[in-house]
Amino acid sequence: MPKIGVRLLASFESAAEFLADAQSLEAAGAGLLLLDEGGDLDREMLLAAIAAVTTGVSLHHAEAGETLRRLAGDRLLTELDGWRDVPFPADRVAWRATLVEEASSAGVIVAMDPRLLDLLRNPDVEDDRSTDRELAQG
Amino acid sequence: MTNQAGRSRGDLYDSVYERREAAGENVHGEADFIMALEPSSVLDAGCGTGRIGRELARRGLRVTGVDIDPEMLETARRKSPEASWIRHDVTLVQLADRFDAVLMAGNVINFVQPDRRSLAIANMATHIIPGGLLIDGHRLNETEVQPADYDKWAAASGLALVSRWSTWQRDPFDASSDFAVSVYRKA
Repeated sequence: MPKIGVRLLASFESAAEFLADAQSLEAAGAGLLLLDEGGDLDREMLLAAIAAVTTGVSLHHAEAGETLRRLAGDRLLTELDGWRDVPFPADRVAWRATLVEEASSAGVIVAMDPRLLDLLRNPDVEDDRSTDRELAQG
Repeated sequence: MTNQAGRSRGDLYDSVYERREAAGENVHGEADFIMALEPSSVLDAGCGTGRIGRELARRGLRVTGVDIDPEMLETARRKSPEASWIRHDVTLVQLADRFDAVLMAGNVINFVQPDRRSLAIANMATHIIPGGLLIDGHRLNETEVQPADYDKWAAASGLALVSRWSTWQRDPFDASSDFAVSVYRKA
């Protein structure tokens, strides 16, 4: 399976929630976090903050300064050789198909989406979770 | 994010229960079950839209909800601003508060990735006062979390099984049950 990179928006309303997303993505198995070109905040500073609250996930910044280089250590990637951007999948079946198609890539990069964590955590679940959501009561 | 009809995923989730309630069904089985256990504070772990936590807050309990999904939590915050809603992962969140009961309802454990399910329970156990309760409700099938596994993870976190039912209405549990409601007590 290719590694999975997640492109986060360089903006937030809540710092705690921005960092919670980064930690949750790492816990769910994301292999790379990077920041979108858009957004109103400083991408290098945001990556420094993410570096401080994560331990294993790679971080990408093409022009990282010495401070981020030292904070991220060998987790810093300045190039994305072999990584491919893929669209956010329509459903879990499409996601599994993308991972098979991109098996020889270094990794795939997908934009952050509220539905992404469920895909990362449980990619092999058969259905679309509607049963779990609607039969939540027993 | 909204769908074609312009409703968020959170509001769409809630609409299923709103329709059932409008049709005369009691959709607050979880809240009824929890109230009978008489906690004064509840951590609703994996609260989603706060469907249960909001009802518990309405009935006077101190409620904190945790969920990582911003669209679901937006519904919770809008519909019940008096409760506390924290956006985080149940396997990672560290709150200062401790609670009489932690609730993991609505199939939450099935949504946690398999290799972090024991960690989810361990982390939630740290948020329960001594003598407090963990209450779990989730659907059972061959691919989802089995009660014996849950019991093992709970025991490793100092939580002993008190009772198990097949519904929130306390129907008996047996080997053929397709849903488990379990109550654990922390030592």
